[in-house]
Amino acid sequence: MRKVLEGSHAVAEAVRLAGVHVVSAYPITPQTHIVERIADFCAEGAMNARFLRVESEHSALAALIGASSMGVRTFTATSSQGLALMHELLHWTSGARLPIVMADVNRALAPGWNIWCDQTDSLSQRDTGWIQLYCETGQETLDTTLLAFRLAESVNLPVMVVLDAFFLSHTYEPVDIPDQEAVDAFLPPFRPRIALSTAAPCALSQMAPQNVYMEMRYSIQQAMEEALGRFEEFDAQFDELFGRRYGAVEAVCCEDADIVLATSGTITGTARQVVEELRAEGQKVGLLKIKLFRPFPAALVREVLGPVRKVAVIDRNFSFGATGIFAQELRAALYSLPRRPVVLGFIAGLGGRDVTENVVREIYCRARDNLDSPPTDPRGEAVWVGLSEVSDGA
Amino acid sequence: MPYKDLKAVPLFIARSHLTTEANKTGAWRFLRPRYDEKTAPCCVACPAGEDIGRIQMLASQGLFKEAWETVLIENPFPGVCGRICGHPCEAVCNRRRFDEAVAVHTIERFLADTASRYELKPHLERLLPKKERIAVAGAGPSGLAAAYFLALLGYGCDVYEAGPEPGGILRWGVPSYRLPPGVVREEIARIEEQGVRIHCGNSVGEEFLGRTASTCDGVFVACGAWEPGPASQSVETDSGSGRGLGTGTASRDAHSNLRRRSDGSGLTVPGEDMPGIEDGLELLRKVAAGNAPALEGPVAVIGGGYAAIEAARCVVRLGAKALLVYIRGREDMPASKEGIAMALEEGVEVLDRTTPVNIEAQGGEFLITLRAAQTADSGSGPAAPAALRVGRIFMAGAVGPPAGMPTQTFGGGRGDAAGQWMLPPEGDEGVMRLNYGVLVMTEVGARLVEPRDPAAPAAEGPPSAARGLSGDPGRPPAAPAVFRGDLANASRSLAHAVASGKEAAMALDLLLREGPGAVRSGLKRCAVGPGRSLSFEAYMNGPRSRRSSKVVRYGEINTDYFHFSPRLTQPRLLKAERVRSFAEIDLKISASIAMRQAERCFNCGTCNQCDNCRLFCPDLAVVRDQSPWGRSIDYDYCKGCGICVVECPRNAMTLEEGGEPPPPNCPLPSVADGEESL
Repeated sequence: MRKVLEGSHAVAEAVRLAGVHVVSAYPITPQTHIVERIADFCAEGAMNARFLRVESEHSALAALIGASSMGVRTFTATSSQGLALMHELLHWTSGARLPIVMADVNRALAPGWNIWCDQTDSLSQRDTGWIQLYCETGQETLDTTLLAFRLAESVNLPVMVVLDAFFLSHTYEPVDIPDQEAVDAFLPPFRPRIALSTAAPCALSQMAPQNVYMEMRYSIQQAMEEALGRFEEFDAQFDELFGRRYGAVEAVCCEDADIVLATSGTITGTARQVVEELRAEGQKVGLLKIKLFRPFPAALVREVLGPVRKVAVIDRNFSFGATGIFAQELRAALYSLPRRPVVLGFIAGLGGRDVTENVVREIYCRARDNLDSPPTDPRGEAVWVGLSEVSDGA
Repeated sequence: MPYKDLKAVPLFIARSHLTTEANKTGAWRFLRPRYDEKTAPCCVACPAGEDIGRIQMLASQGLFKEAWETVLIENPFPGVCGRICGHPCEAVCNRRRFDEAVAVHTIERFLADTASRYELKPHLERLLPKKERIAVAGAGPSGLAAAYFLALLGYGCDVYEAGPEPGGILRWGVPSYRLPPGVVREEIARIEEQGVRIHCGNSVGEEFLGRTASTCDGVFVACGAWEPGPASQSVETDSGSGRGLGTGTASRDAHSNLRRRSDGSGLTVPGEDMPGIEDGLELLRKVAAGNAPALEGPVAVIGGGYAAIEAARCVVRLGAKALLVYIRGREDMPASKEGIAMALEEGVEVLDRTTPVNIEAQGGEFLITLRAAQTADSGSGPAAPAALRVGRIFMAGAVGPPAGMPTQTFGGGRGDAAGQWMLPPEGDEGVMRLNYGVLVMTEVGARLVEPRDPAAPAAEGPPSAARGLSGDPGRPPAAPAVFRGDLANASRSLAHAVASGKEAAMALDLLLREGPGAVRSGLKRCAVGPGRSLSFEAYMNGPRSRRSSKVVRYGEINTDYFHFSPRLTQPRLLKAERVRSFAEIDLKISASIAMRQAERCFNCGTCNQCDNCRLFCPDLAVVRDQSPWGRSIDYDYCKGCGICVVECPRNAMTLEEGGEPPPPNCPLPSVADGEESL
């Protein structure tokens, strides 16, 4: 059934279709619409689920860790400060190998208090052992959420479905809501590998001294590596059932590209438009959309970008004291190639500042007109685009 | 599922099948929680020391009989108190800091009404019969209460009453629109059912004491303050004060009801001893006896205490216009604020700051000359009328004990009507001042001096001449005696009357069983909190005796667990209906209203099994069991975080220093038998 939905409600529909049993969440703009809609579903009986109201995001994830340990499908949603508050439990979830799915609506971190789109919140949690999937459209968001449950339960790792604040969460688009039967064919009932039971009492998360801890961590990495392949497999299955697939990365016009723009989230949509126009103008430009961020699809990235001359990465985030994060990850993935492109990092759109077609064009032009070799000064590794003149203090 | 199962990824998690109980985290504790029921402020304020928090708890659960019995173990008059007590409990109720005080008074009446309706018989704890017999002088609330508690203690009790019926002030001094006589009869009947024998028509003067004291083992003198005092003096403080008139030998005709100080001093109004001027209390007695006079036209009532107000309200109902003349301001009137307000609503006209200076008889009427009274703060108020022309005058002033009543007169004692009665001074050998009365012991004899008659020569012999209760000089008296509260207290309320009777019973029991040295400590052991009230349940070593005397303050209640809810408005007859008859003004309430009102009670310091402690314990260290509390703390795992104590809505727990578990003989709850709460 096709409906015009805002991105947040697309998430909620997927959660409903997935037959989640326990939801626990704390409201925060711009995620709140997700859990409000889910709360309505719970109240009206559209979902066979308990909605646990809690006093903070930390408690929300704690509640889900408890519920998931009982072997039921769980979900929560948050943004920026809320995600940051959950931080220790993000580590806990992956260490406990619980297949919790969470939607993170990319919102800037305070202070200054800013509720608009910025990727630093989810990316600063990239070390926590969560699979991270970035979305460009409302449809993709719904589809990715369904896929997230399948993937999480397959490898016993938590999955974060990431969508842009307002540009995606609050934007209405036509979305096809699959029917329950089709979803059930894709996403079977949860068969948990971890489920506490009074019939066989046990305690979880006991002491793990030096002789076992590394092996436990290694098994998480093994699961992450396995997730790379399984993502592709489930993506293909989804395509068979619903006629849509997204890929861990999507390469547009990259085969003969000189310069490739690397984007994620809704900037991708704008970039598609710009690439089309530039191509019409004769520019040999391509676009690489990165959807799967953790595990990082290094092999695919090498394959697409290896032959390219330059990569202009648009990062709507920053790691202070270093560079934009997608740029970092790309550089690291490409480093061991004997022949590799120049990676130029551009910082744009922080705190919800609009990344218009002009901005994308400007980035392309600067990349094109830049030196063909990497900047000698490390500070040139990240170019902040569109900054106003700011005077020095009072 | 159509797709093949994928191989399971390696899942290396920390999972243990060993019990976690091996780690006794209680060892980390340096503070420990403990169930510790405390005292609610209402119980301390109640002179009868009723366990009010628990009464409300039982009532809110629909356990009306149990709630009623919880009243009866401290107070044999719930139907009476539930109608005319001044409810000092409500003035200190912690709930009044939240929204409004609990309607304790109304709920007490409801419990009594319910017991009456269903003819319930209370199950009261009593001791085995003893051989001693106690004589009680006066079948008023104080004497009857003493007899009741003495009977529960196992003593044979004989109550001697001058009047034709028992009840004292309850029967003769409170009009039926406040206290129907049927209620009084029923509650007195219940006291008689405990084995108390009431002998009416027996005067209780000194002669009586001499006679009976030699045949019984103890005496409680509870005649009340019978005699009206000088018109302008009023020492009453509460409604329901101990005033009344018997019709036996202690009765007086209107003439000699007017009292002057025996030394001749005191306020007098010229003309006050004229024939035809009547006594307010006598009016109340006549109304109670069914002999109310027909009245019409303006009638003056002089005084501002309880008796004056009620006399005025009777005047209105008898068809006349009541004019209340009071020397001080309205706000100084000793009558209760509620009584004054009701009187005004019924049409009584109050002339305050007005003093009568002369009374003349004029052609079947009285002319009272008035003067505005000067008080320290009197500004220019409305000018008092210069004179009143009225058909009748009722004097309703202060009170004293009946003439002929043995008293002990010493110099330096306190007594408003000096020379009439005085307190024995502190420290006098053989005389022990209790909270509510005076205990005079046999060992040193009760020295009695005849009431002073100013005309008589000084008593012969040294003042300390021993003259026993037996009546013969020189012979040691046969029985210890307790003289009740009116002689020892300025407060003369109904609740104090009950309190003094209870204390007398306990004091006599302690004296007879354990000797004089045990009296003070024995009574102190039963004190409710830090106050003067005593608990009979504690005296009988009930669970209440183990309750902490710490009083719960409002700040110690966790009000997160309570919702605002309004206190009921007492249903009453319409104002127009009230003055048409002497029918009871306050109406009954339904059980559902009573339960909802009782639910408003915080039950300060009393565990009501709400289970918060267990639900909130992060260590699962509070376990339900069969113990009297219904649950216990597992100190092997309790880390002493104190969450249970904070989340106990009613401060029935305490967090104290100490890592080790509390000693095994820690107090048990007042919820006996681990009874379940709803």
